[in-house]
Amino acid sequence: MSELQNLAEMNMLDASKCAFTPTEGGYISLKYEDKTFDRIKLCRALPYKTPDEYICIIDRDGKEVGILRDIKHLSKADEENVRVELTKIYYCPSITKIMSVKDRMGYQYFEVQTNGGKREFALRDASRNIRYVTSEKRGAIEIRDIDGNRYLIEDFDKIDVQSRKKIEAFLV
Amino acid sequence: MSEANKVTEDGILCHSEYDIDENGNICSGKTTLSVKNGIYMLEVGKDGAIPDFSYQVDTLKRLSIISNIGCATLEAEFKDGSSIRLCRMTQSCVKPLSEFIKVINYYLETGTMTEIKEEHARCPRCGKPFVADTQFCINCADKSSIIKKFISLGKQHIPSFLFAGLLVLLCNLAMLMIPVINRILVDDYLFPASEGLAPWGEINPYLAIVGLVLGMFGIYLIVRIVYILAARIQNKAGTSFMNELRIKMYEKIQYLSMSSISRRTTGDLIKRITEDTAIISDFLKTETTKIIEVGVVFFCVSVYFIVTRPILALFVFLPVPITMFVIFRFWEFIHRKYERQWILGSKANGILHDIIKGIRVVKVFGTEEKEIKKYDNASKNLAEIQAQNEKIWAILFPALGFVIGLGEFLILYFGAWAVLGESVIGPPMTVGELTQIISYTGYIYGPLRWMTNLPRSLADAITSMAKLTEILDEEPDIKDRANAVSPEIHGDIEFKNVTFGYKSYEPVLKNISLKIKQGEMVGIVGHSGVGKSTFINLVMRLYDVNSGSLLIDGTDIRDIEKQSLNTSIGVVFQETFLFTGSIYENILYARPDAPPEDVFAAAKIANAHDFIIKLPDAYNTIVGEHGYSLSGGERQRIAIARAVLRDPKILILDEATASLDTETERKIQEALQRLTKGRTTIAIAHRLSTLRNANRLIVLEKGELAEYGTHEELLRNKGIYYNLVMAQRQTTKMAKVNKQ
Repeated sequence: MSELQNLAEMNMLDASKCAFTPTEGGYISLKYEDKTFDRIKLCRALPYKTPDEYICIIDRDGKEVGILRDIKHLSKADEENVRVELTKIYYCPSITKIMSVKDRMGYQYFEVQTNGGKREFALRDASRNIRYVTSEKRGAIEIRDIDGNRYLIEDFDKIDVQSRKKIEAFLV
Repeated sequence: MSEANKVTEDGILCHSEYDIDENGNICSGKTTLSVKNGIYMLEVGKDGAIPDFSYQVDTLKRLSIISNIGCATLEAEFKDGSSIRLCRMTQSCVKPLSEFIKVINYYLETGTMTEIKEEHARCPRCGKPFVADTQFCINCADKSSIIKKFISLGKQHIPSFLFAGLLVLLCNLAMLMIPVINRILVDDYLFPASEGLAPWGEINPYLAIVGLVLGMFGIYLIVRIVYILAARIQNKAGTSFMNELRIKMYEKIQYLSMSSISRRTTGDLIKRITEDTAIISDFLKTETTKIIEVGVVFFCVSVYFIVTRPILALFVFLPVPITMFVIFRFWEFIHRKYERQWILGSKANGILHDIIKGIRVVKVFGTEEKEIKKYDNASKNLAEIQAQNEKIWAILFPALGFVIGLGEFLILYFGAWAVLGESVIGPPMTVGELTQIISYTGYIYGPLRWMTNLPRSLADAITSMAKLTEILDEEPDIKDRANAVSPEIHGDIEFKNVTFGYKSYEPVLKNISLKIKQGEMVGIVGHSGVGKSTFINLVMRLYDVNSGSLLIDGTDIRDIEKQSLNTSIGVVFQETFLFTGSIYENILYARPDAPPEDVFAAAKIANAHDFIIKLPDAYNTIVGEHGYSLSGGERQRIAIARAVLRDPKILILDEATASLDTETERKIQEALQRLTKGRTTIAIAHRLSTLRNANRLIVLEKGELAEYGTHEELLRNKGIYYNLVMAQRQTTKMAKVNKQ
């Protein structure tokens, strides 16, 4: 650990000592060393860049228990439990196909196919709400609708040409 | 239960939707509140299936919506201490569901079922989402009703617009006469003259030619003059309508409550006042007459062609659908390209703005090269799209001109044959007739491009109208009740079980009950984000409480006239806002009818007078944007003077001295001490020493009232306040040691 990390009293959790268990009511708990934290909250520190790494674990009172370096370091069962909990908190359906984009009085109405089913949503100011997730301007694209829902195109270069054409003009 | 609630046959009182199932897939689910045999039931489950959860409402302690990322979860807390996640939903369902749970939570707190206001997540007519945070669907909004509303708003200008329209109509009819005169000139005087045939009989041909040319000149002259007149009438009406709209919007925004103002950005509101009104006014000024002009020309010329030369009409109209299609098709494309150019331009500007403003940071970290590269890229992208757009422009429009020209070629070709007597397009034609036909062809093609753009400009105008009507129709949620009173306010404040959240499902203050006595100084302490500023926002009635009540001198704050409340409250914020104007005007803002002596006295109490008179222009010094730059402490003291001048019964100090050095703070503290005497004062401060004069202290923790008492009492309790004091003492000690 660097001096800076020591100074900040960073608590990087040892994955081998973590046990994540689903609890009654649909929550998740963490047993770490000899302490149990009920109804913990998981939080991705770098949700776009490394969604599986640097997961902050926060207890019921909002205090940070520690940071998990990589969920892949956990046992298979624990990893699965963490993944299930993360999907409950982070909801960003992946768009697999854009069926139509219609402009109606300054609002763009989208009809898309996502990994969670068909969705219809509207955007205002499409050029500002469709953007590359990283500053390299390649790869994943995030779309935010007028209600604040998020949608992800995992790789813009890999989506079908028709879909790509429909939103290309909005991408800056 | 309120009588307004309708119970269906199966006992359902109200329901709300959720849309994500346990596997993260889209589903259609419902949360339902029903009453069976006098027992309230909450059921949660997918449409048409047996509910996943079914609870007696009385077993619940509270329902809450937990905001996640891109979704939210509905959670239930039971009286036995257990809790459960009931369902998940996208952001679109959060607002309607929060209304739903509000009803249940209110019942759980008070035992009464209130009136239920059902909200929809999507437009019930077309299923498309609503426009952000409204129940307004732009997709199936009744456009004609929006237009009608605008007509009624500007009804006093209708005669002007109609008169201008009539003038334009007459002008266009007159202009259609020019080709006719041309034909007479050619056919009756020029060509017959050359062939020695003189149909004019006694009239001198030269005189006739002079007469016809003068006639043409006369028509041109009169048409131009009438046009100018029509344009002036229209501009005048359009501009004054725009002015009225702007003022109406501005007035409306002034009276809207903080909650609806803060829902929108400052930029959005300014845009609605300036840009949207301008779009509507431009539409009225230019497009309405253009519609009349094009309509008249199209109608008359089409009738002329169809009646006299139906085959030629075919040639004239043949390129019309083609050009219409091409322009219409490409317009969208070009529009997007230009929009992109605009965004890239503003992005490049943004980088420039950022870097030049933050040049010190760049230099300190030595990242000049990185920043140069960043701007290089943005500038290059902009140049690329500019070049592309110019290329499109340069190719598309000449090409379209060519297609339109094709029709003219055909007319010229077949017309010439008809003039020579070998007509395939009906009866033979004279040279004059051919020139008339060619002129009319030009008349038709001219407005084509304009017509293809009409749907867009009409849509722009209607969108702007919809945006304006949204604000104009909005009822301010904080307004005087019919029976509001305006008592003389003394300054007793009481919170009775007050719960409030900017979003009703995320309460910031929970069940606060306390009394502040007249003349008392009360400090509010607590960590950042615990609801300190929210507390004073409620006292200032920038927002209304969600539940419970806030009493001023025993009267519910909602029953006191806003004007009377406003004149009794004075505020000093951490961020002092001085309007552009003189120091004198800025202080006077609090009480415009105050005599100069009062202004000076207020400045003296605020410890501001001494520094003001040392300025070259003293009280006339211009401050605010582009004005004289004052230090933070000086600005703060002017703000205090402003509050003093108001002579408020309730004084609110929101971190009034937080950003100042100790010496300035001491001066301001002195000023405040004089000011707070005899007034109810509520002060927020992080620096606890600022609150040493407070009679009592309110300690907030997670939106709840954690501790309330005098400094000594709270220290004795050894609770949150004690810890805060100890922590600050530690810091001060450390600072002292470091100094030594």
